[in-house]
Amino acid sequence: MNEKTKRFVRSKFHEYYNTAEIEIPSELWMRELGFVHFDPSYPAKLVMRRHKSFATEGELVKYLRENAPAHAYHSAAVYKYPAADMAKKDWIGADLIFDLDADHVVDETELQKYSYEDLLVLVKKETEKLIDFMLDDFGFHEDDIELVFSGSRGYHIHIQKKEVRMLGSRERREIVDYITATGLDMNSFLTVSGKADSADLRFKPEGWGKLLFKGLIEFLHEIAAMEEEDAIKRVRSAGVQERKKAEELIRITKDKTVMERIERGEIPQFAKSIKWDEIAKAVTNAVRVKSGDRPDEPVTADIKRLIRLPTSLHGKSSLNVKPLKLDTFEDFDPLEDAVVFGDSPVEIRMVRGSAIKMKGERYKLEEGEVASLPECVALYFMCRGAAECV
Amino acid sequence: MQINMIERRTEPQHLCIYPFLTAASEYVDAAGIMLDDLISAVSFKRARLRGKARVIEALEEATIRKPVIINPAQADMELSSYPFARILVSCIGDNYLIRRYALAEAKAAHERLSEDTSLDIIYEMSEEFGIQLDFSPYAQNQVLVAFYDYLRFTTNIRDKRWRLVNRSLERGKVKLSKTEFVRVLQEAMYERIKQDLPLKVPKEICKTIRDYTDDIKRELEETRKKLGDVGFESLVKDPDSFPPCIKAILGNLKAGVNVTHGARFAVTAFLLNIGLTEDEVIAIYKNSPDFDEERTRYQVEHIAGDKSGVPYTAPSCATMRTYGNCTGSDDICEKVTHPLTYYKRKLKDKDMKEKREKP
Repeated sequence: MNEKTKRFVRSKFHEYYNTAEIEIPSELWMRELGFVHFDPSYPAKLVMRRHKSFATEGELVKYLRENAPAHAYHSAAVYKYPAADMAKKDWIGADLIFDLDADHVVDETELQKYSYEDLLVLVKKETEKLIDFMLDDFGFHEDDIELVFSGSRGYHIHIQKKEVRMLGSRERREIVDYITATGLDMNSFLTVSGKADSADLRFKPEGWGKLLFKGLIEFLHEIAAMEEEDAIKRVRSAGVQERKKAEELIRITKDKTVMERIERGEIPQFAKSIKWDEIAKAVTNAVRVKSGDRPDEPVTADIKRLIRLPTSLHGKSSLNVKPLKLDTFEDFDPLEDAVVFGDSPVEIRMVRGSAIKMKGERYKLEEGEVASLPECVALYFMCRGAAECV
Repeated sequence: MQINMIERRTEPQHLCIYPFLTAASEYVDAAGIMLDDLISAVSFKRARLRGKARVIEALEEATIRKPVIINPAQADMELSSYPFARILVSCIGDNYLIRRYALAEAKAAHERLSEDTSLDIIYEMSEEFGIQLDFSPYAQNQVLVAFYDYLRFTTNIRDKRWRLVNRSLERGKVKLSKTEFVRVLQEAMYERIKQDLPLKVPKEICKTIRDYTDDIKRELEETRKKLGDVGFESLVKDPDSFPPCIKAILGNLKAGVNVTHGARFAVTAFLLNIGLTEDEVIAIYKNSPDFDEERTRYQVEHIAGDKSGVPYTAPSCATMRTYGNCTGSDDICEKVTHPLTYYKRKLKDKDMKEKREKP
């Protein structure tokens, strides 16, 4: 991003902040804020200006209007002294935050294979699963959940309920483990009924037990409908390697009486030798939230992290960090609904080839191409570092 | 069924079983027992002896015997022995002693709580520890606990069946059997007892009661000796016996090679677990190309559990493998599943070898 482009982008961000209605974080005065400015080193080196605090809404709005930052963040935590050094802040509590980003959902090496639009679709699916967990399992009310488009490749969920504010890192890690099925042990959801040796197993249809059970039934039906060889392949891919065991399982799926019993939640004694826990592992994959968090980089469990300020702009995309409603989430299209800039033509020169579908229109440009594009598309390419002002 | 106000039981016999209850400290306050008297008055000698006995029992038997209370004077003595025991362990200020003492008190209370079949005590304890509790409409012996209350007291329990992911969680409530809930209460009691320990006791007071603390210190040494090859607390720091994975990471740090976050976590937790101080661990990072003392201190303190109160345990061999941090595996590695076990085992082998060599 050359100086001219940077000036242009910054002036556009200014325009946005001059009129935008900023959503002020609750208890603003107890939060730490952080910003990255369009300063001389941007974007080669991102200088995070941390430990800022604002006593009033007006002060924050004024700061945004004066500086038009490239990135704006607030702390998930509330502190007694939000502007002090980390060690002296005096932590009071923190919102429960989930950060679902494409690079958590898709393996790093695979990331290149997907288009931006495809990634957004994938992350949305994971976000929907996470919301279901929050509502059904964790019992949060729809109003407790604040859903925000990250402005880039993901979604953030903020939960501010006072009961979760005091949870420490380890407690939060347990919540992440729950939604990602980390450490799940199917035996916790099986009870033994009858005499020890000849006992049948029963599924407890609660918590993950319910999800495992549902997944298992779907899996068995899927197998039943397959040709023998395909079915064996499928069972093997689920972790049951021995052919004999696989065949036994397939026989079970075709036995009506046994299937009826299984659907009632009973695993007959004779079927116990099948590696149910392997199959359970396979079925959780469809249900669990895929790595909403990476174990080596605590995100949700980090009770002092910063999260993007809702309604601010994302400097690497020019898109709005947009608060969303749960009931209209299904229809939300970031490349339509999170676009804040208009359509007046801007002339740009591509420094590398790039493509995007924005506001329903597809733009694909080659390196070196000079083009006149709608302002919103031009800004997107500039922020991505794919284009410069002419 | 939502439980609202429960009448608190305040009779001394009850409080003697659970001396950490708010009502118990109120009782001691209301009885007008002054700190000076507790420390030195002749009339409190029996309370002081009983206080010392509490700590000694914690060391010797890992639990605390609960006497049968027959008269009010005995109850007063028993109740005031609890704050005195807290003063004793605070004057000694040894972390191992504090943990062991708190655990013994909690265990003793847990034993009595398990014997009590009434639901009243369940209500009372839930109220005391601010746990939101419902009874299952379907089963008499089951309780429903809000997940955030459940998490508050169970992250320290190691067994995988206590992990939230393996629990019946529905609409924010964790379903527990009554026995399981009493186990959760034991954790709550442990936290309560450990809270604020060590107390800030003025030096003069510690001096006055030195006869008592000296006896305990002797007992503590005895216990330590017996535990010598079991606990990590008394392990020597012998870098030669570190497992190859930890040695490799330390070697990289020393050479100023940048080390991944996961590897840093592993080595930090490992060193803290075997008893290095936070400062000693921070010093190891000084060669790191991106060394930032404040940041490092913050992270080391986090792993040491300064904020949460719970230190992290170093990752197991399986986790080390997952993140590509398992290197140079040797024959001891084959026999263990945790870097800390490796270290313990190697130290023991070395010790035995030395003993054999010098008869």
